[in-house]
Amino acid sequence: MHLKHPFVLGTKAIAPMRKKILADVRANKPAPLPQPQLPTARLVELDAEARLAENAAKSKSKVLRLAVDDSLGQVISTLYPKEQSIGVGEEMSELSDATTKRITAETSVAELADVHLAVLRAELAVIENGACWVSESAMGHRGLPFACEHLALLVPRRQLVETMHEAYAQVTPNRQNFGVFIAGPSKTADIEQSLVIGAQGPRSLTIILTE
Amino acid sequence: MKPASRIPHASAAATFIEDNERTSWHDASLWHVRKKRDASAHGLPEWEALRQLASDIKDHTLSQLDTYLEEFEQSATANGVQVHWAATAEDHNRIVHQILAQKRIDAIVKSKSMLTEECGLNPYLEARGIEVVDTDLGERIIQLLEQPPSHIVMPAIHLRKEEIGQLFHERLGTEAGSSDPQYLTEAARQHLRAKFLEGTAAVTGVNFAVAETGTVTVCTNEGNADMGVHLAEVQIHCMGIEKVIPRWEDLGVFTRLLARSATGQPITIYTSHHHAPRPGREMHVILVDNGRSEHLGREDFRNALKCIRCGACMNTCPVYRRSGGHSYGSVIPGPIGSILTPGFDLESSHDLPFASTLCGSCSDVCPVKIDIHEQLYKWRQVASEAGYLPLSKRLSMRVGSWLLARGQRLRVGGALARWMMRTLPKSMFYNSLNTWSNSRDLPDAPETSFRAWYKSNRSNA
Repeated sequence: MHLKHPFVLGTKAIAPMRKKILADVRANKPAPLPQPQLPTARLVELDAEARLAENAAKSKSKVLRLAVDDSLGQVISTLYPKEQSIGVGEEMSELSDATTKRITAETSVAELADVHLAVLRAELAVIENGACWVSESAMGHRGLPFACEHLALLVPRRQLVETMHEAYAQVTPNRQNFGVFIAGPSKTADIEQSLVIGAQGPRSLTIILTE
Repeated sequence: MKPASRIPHASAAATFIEDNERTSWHDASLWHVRKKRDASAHGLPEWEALRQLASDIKDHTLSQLDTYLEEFEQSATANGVQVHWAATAEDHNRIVHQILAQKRIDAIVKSKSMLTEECGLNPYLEARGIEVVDTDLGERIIQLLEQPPSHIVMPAIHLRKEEIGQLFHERLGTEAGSSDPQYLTEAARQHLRAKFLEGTAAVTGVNFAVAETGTVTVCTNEGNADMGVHLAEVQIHCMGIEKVIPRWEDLGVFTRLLARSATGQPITIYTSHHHAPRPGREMHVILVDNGRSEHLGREDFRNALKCIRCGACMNTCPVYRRSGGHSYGSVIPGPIGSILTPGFDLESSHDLPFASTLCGSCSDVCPVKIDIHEQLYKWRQVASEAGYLPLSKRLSMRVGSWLLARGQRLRVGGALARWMMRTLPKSMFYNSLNTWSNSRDLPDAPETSFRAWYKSNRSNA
């Protein structure tokens, strides 16, 4: 199927390079070694939410729980009182006032960069490191979780897993799609190892646990 | 991977340590990262089992690398990705250029990638009129300074904030004399945002490529790789062929190890999984050999290909910490670079395996259990057999083995040395011919040899 490429590169066609690399690898590889078993899934242990909050704090994320009678809209406006432009990646009946904007794959780059707060649904959160899985279908536009100034992720309380092993077992990769684990606000320590939050992406991350 | 004209590590390191204060600062910065790694690793009771598992997965993969590469190609192609094969660095660069030329793209945003550094992609594209902007903050800093990275995870770790403040003042218009990291990072954020919005093609490295699903996984903290990729028309991911892993769920093992080993974080902020381009866009993956398949054939050295580029061996290495990454003069510095680079070109890098105390700390922290210090020792033998040892080492080794071969020679030689140390002037030992004495002191010569002492004190017991 490598021959179906739309173009041939330079003077060297792809097929001979592919053939050569694979032949060299085949000639030089060691005798087959067995494939190891992965660890068996761990059940979620006690105090899951408290431990998630503690670990997420290490990456400067905040975790809060949405009580049954709390309205998401109210919580958001308390959390981010100054945010005028809220972007959502999919229909969100809880956030439907005039300031909320539905972001889609067709949203222009300029509009994307204008989103102050993005509110997205995450499928699960990982207790050991506070990473949340967000798939493209929840983003509207792949760039939204990165281009926004602040990010809030909604995670169902029942969707907490202990480690990355359980997380990858539970997430089915959609192969037409993009998906990401997000574990905090964008950060860097490239200048003398000083931690700076808000390097290039969002300046804050709030994980909101929902019923 | 061929450095044009390398200064030997020992000479470059000697220059580095002339600045005592900077050497201590560099040492302490890296040790701080090593300590964070320790705290993070010790937090996981299953750490050692996890390292073993990662090592076993990599061993297994390398033993069937051809099969997994084909499987990856098949999966990725089915997802709508264009997969390319590059035998050499030159092939890789030409393929990237060709993709850009087809789309008439003359500016790219690039996120951190040691592979493109290895291939010399930036100068190749710039020579063809394409603007390349490195978007990782540390990479952007060294790009503006026209320096290579000094570390594979923290490329600007060798620079003081005052130097970066001065650079940003000149290039980005920040206030003169300002060196607050928060302020400088904010300036870089604004500068790079503009570049992302203009960018039409994005190039990234690859941390892991999953054969089963055709996934390309990229790990960053800043989010710069994603800013580039998702706003661009064309996304290009460049990877060495050793980056492939078999199963989707194997990612669980490696994402638990990578950031903990690298910086002590429980995971990188962003772990992105690219499967397919956005509708109407293009996604390319370039599989690069450039000497890797040959290295796979070296039984003693092949497992260096298991490396996941966390940099833990650099942070812990007493030589790296006190000599700086640039002193190695190789794309990948530090212990792992010193066992990878000789495989690419022994002639220009035969001194690198000697840039080590063989203390073994690198092997102890390696998340995929590469026997780094043992390979350093074996490369020394290869370099020696190939005739690369300097005359001083060759001669002293020959004298040493002659002396130690017979008991009588050692006895006479020892007596002679003790007499010389007592009677000859100090300048006989401490001079420019004896580099050993540059920073070391000889002990006082004992009255008798150990053999004589033992005979008179213990031989009746």
